[in-house]
Amino acid sequence: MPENVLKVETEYSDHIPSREEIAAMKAKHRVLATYSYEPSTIERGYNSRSLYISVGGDYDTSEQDPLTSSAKGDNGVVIGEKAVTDLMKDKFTGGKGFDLYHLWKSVKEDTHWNAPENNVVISPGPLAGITQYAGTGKSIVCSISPLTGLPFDSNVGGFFGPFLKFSGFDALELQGKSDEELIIFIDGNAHTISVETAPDESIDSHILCEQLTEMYAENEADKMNISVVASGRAAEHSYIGCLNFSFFDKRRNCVRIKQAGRGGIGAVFRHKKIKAVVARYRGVHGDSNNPVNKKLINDAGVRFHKQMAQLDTKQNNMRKIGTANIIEVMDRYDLLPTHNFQYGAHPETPKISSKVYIEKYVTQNVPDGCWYGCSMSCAKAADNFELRTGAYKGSKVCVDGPEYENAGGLGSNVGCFDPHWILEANFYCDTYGVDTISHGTMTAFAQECYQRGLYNLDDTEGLDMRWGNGYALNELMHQMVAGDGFGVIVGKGVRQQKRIFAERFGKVAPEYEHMLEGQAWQSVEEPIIDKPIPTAHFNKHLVDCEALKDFGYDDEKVLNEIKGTSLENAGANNDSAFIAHPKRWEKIPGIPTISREEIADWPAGKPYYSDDPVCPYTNGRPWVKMTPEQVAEMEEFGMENKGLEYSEYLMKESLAQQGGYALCNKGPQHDEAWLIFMDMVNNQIPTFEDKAEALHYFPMFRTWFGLLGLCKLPWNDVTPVNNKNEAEPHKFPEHVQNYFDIYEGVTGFKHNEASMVRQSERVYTFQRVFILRMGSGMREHDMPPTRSLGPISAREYLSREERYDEQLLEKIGVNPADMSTEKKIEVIMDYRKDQFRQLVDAVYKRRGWTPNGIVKLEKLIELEMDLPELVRIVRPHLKAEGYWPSGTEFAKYDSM
Amino acid sequence: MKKLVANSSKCTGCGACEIACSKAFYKEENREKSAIRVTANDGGYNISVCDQCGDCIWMCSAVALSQAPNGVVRLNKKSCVGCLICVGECLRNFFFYNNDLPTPFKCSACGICAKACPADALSISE
Amino acid sequence: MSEPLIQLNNRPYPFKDGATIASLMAENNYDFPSLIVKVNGSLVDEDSWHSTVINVNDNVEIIHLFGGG
Repeated sequence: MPENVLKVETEYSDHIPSREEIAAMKAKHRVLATYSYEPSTIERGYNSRSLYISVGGDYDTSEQDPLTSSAKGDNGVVIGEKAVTDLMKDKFTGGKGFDLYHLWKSVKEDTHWNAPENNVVISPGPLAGITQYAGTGKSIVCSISPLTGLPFDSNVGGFFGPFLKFSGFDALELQGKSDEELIIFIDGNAHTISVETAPDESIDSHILCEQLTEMYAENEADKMNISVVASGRAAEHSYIGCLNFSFFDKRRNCVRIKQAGRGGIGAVFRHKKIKAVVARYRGVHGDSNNPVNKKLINDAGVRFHKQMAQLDTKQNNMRKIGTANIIEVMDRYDLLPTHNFQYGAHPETPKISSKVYIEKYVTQNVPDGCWYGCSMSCAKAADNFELRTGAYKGSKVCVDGPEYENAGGLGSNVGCFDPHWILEANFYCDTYGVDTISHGTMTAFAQECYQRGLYNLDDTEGLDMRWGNGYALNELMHQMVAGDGFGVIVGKGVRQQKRIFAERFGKVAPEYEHMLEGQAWQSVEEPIIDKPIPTAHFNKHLVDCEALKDFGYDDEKVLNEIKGTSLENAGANNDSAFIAHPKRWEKIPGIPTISREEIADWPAGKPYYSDDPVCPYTNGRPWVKMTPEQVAEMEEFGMENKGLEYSEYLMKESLAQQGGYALCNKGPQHDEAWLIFMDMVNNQIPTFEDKAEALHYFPMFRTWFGLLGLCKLPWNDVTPVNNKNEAEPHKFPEHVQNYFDIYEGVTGFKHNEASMVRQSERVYTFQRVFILRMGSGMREHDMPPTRSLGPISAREYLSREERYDEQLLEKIGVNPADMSTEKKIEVIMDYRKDQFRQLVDAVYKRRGWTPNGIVKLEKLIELEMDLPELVRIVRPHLKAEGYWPSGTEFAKYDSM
Repeated sequence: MKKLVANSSKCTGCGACEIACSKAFYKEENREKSAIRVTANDGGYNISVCDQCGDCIWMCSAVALSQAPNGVVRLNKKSCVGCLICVGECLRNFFFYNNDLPTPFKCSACGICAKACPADALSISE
Repeated sequence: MSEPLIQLNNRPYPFKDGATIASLMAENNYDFPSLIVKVNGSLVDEDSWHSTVINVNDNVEIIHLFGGG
C-alpha cells in the first residue's frame, strides 16, 4: 500500500517570488495589443478556429489563411483568428497536421529559422484535454529548425495544449519578430488575449514559470489553471533551444515543466524575443470536449486505470521511476549508447541505474502525470537538489527527471557515471532551455574529437573534454548562456561542430609546436587523473602537481605533461580534478588575421589567426586547418542526420532501427519507429520486406498520436494480462481498441487499423513533401553516419570481437581467421552498407516512393493528398526520374 | 475511524440499501447510482462498500481526495475533473462511476443505508 | 554427426541436455520484465519457466515486448 503523500516538503523559497516582486514586475509591462473573442463551444474535439499572433516585423503573409477577425497594436503586433476548415480537419486532423499546414503557408523555400516569417505553431489535437484516459494532454510544436533548416515537429506534455483548446483555439501561431521582450497572455475564461512587454521577468524557465504562474493566477487555488510556455538563455546562443510547458504541482506547491525538447524550436522562440506564452483556463472536466459518447471514454479510461493499479509495479514501474527504468535494461542488452555510440554497455552503469535514482534522488510516491487523468504518471522529480555550478549554484531546486534519454545521453554516452552531474545537467538543460538529447549527443561528439586529438585543451580554453567530465557537461551550458567560450561552438550541434572544427581547429602550425611545452597538454586516451582527491584540497591550485603524488599519482609521464598547469578541483565529492588553465599564447607577429570567409580558400598548412565574430573567442594560437583525412574521420562518427543529433539508443546492430532513424522525416528521433527488440532480439522481422512493413506500420501508427494530442507511452509501456494471447502482441491490440473507443467517443467516428494508418499517412506524406520543398527529402539525405551502421574503429570491433567474427563467418561467408582487424572492419562495413541500401529500397517501395525517395503521384492520389501545392513540388522530380505517370486520368496534374 | 460496517452473512439481498443511497444522493431509485452494492454470491450475498482505507487518495490527479479527521475519505466535487483514476485505483471496486454523472462517487459513511436495512446487516462505526 | 540444435527466436541455437526456458533465458541475459514465451507455438506461463524442459529441434520464442520511449 503506497503511503498517501499529500505534500512534499520543499526548500524552493529562494526562487519563488513574493507578491510584491511580482506586482512590481507587472507594473513595468506595457500592453502592445489586446483582443477579445467570442467563446466557442467545442464540438467533437474542435473549436474550429485557431489563434494567430504576430509579434511585429516585416514579412509576406499573402500565402497564409486569412484572418477572420483581428486587432492591431503597437510595434506591428497583430492578434487574430483563423478558421479551421473542413479540409484541414479531414486531411490534417489536428496537432502536427495543423502545425505543418500553417507552417507550409508561412514559409518560402529559402526561409531560414531566424527569418521573421518562420512560425512557431502549437496544436494539441481533437482528443486532447479529455481527463479520463492516460496521456491525453499533449501538443506538437512545429517550426523551421535551426539545426536542420527543415520543418520540425517536437512533442510535449500537457497542460498548455488543453488550456489553449478550452480557451477556444485549436492551434496557436507565433510569427514575426519583436525588438522588445514580450509575454502573451491568453485568458480562457475572460476570453481576452494580450501581448505585453515584459522587461524584468527572468528568462530561465524554473524562475520565469513561477513568476508568471504567481502573476496571472487569481489566488493559490487558481495556480493549477495556469500553464506557461517558456525557454531559457542558452537557447539564445545555441541551435538546440527547447520549449518548456509548465503546470502547477499542488503536492509540491511548485511549478513543473515538460519539454518540447528536440529540434531547437526554443531558439526560434527566443530569437523572436518572446519570453513566454501564458494560458489560463478554469473549469476543466471530463465533458470539456463535448464528446459524442462519453461512455466509451469513461469505460476505456477505467479499464486502463485498473491496469496501471494492478500491473505497473510488476512491469515497468512507470509510476515509481518513469522511463528511467530501462537504463539498466538497455545496458544488459548492449543498447545503452556509450562514449558517443561506440559501445552498448559500461561496467559503471550500476552507478546510474534507476535503483540509484530511486534510493537517493527521486521523490517517491508522488504521482505527477503531466495532464489530468494520467494514471501512468511517468514524470519524475528529484526534490531539493542542490546545484554545484552555474547561475543558480547553491540553490535547491526541483529537477524534472531523469528520463531515460537524459540518463543515457547525459550519462553513458558522454562517459559520465555520476548521477549528480547527470541531474545537474538535466536541470540546467531545462531551465536554460536546451534539448537534453542533443546536448548529450553533441557533447559526446565533441569529446570524441578531443580524445582523438583533433583539438586540445588550448582550443577549449582549459575545459577538459575527456569522457566523464560531468563538470564540463554543465560548464558548456553556462558558456552558452554567457554567449562566450567553447560551449558556444558545441551548442551549434554536431553538424556545425564538424564545419567549425574543420575550419578552426587542427594541428598547431608545426613551426610553433615547440611552444606547447609547459603551456598546454595534448589529450590522452585514458583519464589521467582517476583517483579521488580528498575534500581538504578542493579549490586549491595544484600548481606544480607534486602534491598529486600524495594521492597516488606517480606516473612521471603524466606529471611532466601537466607540470606548470594549475588545476582546479571542481567536484563537491571525491571526484578528480578536471580543469587546467594553460597560459595563453602571445600573439606572434607576422601571422595574418583573416576573416571567416577567407578561411575556406586559405592554403592548408599556412598558419592564420581568425577574427570570426560568430565564434568570438580567440586565444592567440595560430591555426592550421584540419587535414582532409581528419575531416572525413569526423563524418564517420558525427552522429547526426539531416542536422539533428541521434537520440539515445544504440542502433548499430539493428538494421531496422538504422532505417527507423535515418528515414525519419525530421531527423533521427525514435518517435517514428522503435524496432530494436523486435528486430535484434525477437527476430520478428527477418527479411527486408518484413522490416519495410514494420517501417511503414510503426511510423504511421506512432505519429498518429501526435495528430490527436495523445502520449504514446500508455500504448505499450504497460502490458495487458491477455496480450500474450494476441496474434500480434507487439501492436498491443487491447490498447489500440481503447484508442478507437476514445476516438469514437469524442468525434463519433469509428476507426479501424486501416483508417487510422491512413489518417496518419496523410500528414506523414505531407511532411515528406514539405522537407523536399525545403531542400531535403531525397535518398542522399536519408544516408546515416557510418558509425550508426556498425563498428568503424578497431576499438569498437575488438570490444565485441566474438560477435563480429561470427557475423563475418555466418552472414557474410568470410573466414575471420588470418584477417587483420582493419580488413575485417572493411568487409563487415561494406556488407552493412549494402544491407542498408537494400533496406532503403524496400522501404521506399513499400511507402510508394521512387528509389530516390520522392513521393509518387499515385500515392498522393491514393491518400487524397493530391493538392496542387504538393503536386507542384514532386512533379519536376518525378519527371526527371521517369516516374511521372502517363494516361488521361493524370493529365490534369500536368497543369496544376 | 468512521465508516460503514457491513455484515454480509445477515444480508437478505433485498436491495433496500442501494435504493436508499441512490435516492438520497441522486434522487433516483437506481442501484447503478448507489455507493453500496449487493451481489449474489455462493448461495448468499456479498455487500461491497468503501471502508475508507484511503489508498485512492495519492493518485488523484486533481488533488481532490482527502481524509477527514473522522477518517472518512471525501471527494471535493468542485476540484474533481472526472478523470476516474480513483475508480481504477480501488482494486476492490468500491469507487463507482456512472456515465450520467460528472464525477465518481463512493460511500461517505452517512448511515442512511444502515437505517434502511431491515436485516440489521449495516451499521456505522465511529 | 552434426551438432544438435533448437530454434531460438528463429535462429539456430545449440541444444543442451536438460535445458529449460529459465536456463535459456539466463544464458542469454533475457531478464526483461515483459516477456512472452512460446514453445512449438504454445504459450508457456511464467510459473512453468523453470520446469519446462527443452527438447532437440524445439522451436522456442522468447518475445520481448518493448516499444521504446
